[in-house]
Amino acid sequence: MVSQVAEAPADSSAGRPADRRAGVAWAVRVRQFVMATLSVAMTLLIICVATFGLMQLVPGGPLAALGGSHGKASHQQIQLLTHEFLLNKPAYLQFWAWLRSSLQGHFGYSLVSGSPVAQLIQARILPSVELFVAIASVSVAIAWVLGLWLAKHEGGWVDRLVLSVTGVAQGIPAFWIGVLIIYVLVKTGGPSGPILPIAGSESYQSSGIALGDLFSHLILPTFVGATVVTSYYIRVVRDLAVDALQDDYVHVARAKGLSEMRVVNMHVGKNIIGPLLGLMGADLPSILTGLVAVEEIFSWPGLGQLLASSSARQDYPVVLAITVISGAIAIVSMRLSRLLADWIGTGRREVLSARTGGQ
Amino acid sequence: MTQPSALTGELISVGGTKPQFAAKAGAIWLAIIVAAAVLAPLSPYGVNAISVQSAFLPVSLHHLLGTDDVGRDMLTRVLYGGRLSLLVAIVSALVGAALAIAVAAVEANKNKLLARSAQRINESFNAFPAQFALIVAYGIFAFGYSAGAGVIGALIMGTLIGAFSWPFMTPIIALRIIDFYGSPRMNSLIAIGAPRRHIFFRHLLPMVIATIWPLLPYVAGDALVTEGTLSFLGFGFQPPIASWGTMMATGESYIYQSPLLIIAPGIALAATVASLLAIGEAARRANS
Repeated sequence: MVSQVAEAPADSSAGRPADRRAGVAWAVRVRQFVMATLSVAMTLLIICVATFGLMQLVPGGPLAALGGSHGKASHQQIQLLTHEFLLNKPAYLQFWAWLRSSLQGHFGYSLVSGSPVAQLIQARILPSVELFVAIASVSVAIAWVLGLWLAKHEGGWVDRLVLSVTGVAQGIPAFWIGVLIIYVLVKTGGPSGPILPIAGSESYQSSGIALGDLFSHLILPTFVGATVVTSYYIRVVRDLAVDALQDDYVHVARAKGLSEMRVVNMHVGKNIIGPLLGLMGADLPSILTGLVAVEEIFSWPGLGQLLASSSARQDYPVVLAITVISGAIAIVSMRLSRLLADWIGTGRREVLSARTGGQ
Repeated sequence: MTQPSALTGELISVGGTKPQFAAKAGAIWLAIIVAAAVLAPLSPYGVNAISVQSAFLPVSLHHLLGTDDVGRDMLTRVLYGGRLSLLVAIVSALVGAALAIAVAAVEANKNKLLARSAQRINESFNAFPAQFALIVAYGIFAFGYSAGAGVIGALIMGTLIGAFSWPFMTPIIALRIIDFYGSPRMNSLIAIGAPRRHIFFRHLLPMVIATIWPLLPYVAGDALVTEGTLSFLGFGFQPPIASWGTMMATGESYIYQSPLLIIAPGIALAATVASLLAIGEAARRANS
């Protein structure tokens, strides 16, 4: 689809034959794709080595929590585990064995519960994804709408007010807002309890898939998780839009007699989606890790909570797997969002020039 | 200029109509909180002076922010907590800056293999879920965090947070170094036979520092939030050490007795981070 757009005679290289250009474009694309895949693989490998190395540094080794005078495992069990995880072998062999089984989706067994790590993670992925999608879509939507509106009314009292509020809000730790909101809701809730669910992802009575129940449980964690990100994005969108409103294409659009609403929403707004998505992708690691505190406070049964509890119990296979998986998600989405941002940016221009060129 | 920077993960220029005002207010708050933290030992109360009779006292002239669950003066603890939290922030900004410059120097290297390797390391640290790693690091450094009444702990934690804070700065610096190598200024320096050391210390290094310092308030602010979150979750400083994070953790446990226990350190933290962000914003606007 991208290539079709690119084949259209663009203004800069209108003289060349279309078929030859398409061929070159394909070769370049394949090369870029291979290089990108290789570099992503390299980056992932570094993440794996770094995480694995970190685990090696833990005093007493990965089985420290199980053995000793307070441990529950017998000497035999520990020996069995040591054999299973190759813990008596050099670190690079352990790493190799771990990497090979991880690539097959087998991340070993939890030291605490004994169940497969993959199973533990699988049970926690959906809630985390739900929360993440909610936070991401809410923050992007609010930032886009409010940011554009502020840019249109630059310097007004609402603009100044929102800038002051977001200026402070982007520095507040999310968990602090969460704890205070729970406090206020419990205090004002009266005998029937808080008006919104403050813990978990579903009610005890609910059976099957209850969307309304899920949404009501999502409201508070989403609000708390999105506050900081949204504050920052509102400022970004506003500033980008203020700059863009001075651009030539805006003057042209106005000169064509388009309504101001159309100029701002369709022209400026569309151009801002690309950078906003790029920023979102770049921020993904910090949003992911920010979920730990939010999930802890609201007892949200996601990966962040699993990570915190596993870490507290020194359940290293679980921690290792979660860290590597989130690193992988982060890097892939960073790359994808950059591609998407580029594509939205250039696609628009190329389609535009193709249209005018065809007439 | 702002648009492509968003795609490279660089901070986008954001700001209000009056960034100078916010920055001035931020600078004043920062000066107050730093001075107060330095002068904290002048307080008539000890940071860990327990007196169970006076637990949960409300705000009064004797205790300007009331007392906590074991009767310690909250204002004194907020100021002492500021010492540790600010120390973590400063250390992580310095460590982050040093690492960013070091990796940028390699990324700007003419050797393609070296430069590419540095870029991959940069990218992996960028994608690395830092807070996860810091939670794991608690298993390694738990004893260190309590060492020296938290001061040594603050140095360790600051170093660890700094070790994950550099990646977003590195490409910006690397670009400036590459630009500098190809600049007429560099050519004329070579032409007049300037010694390498002179070029490095008198031209390259000042340029790099001028590029990086407006970014450091962000790193420091982020470190403050990270310290708070880690200690709050139990993977950082541990009570009775006073940091803004541990105070908020204690405050959450006693929120129904006295919400001030979590509100006071939280406001100190939020105001300091907001000040740092405002200062960084103004500095970057002045620079660009």
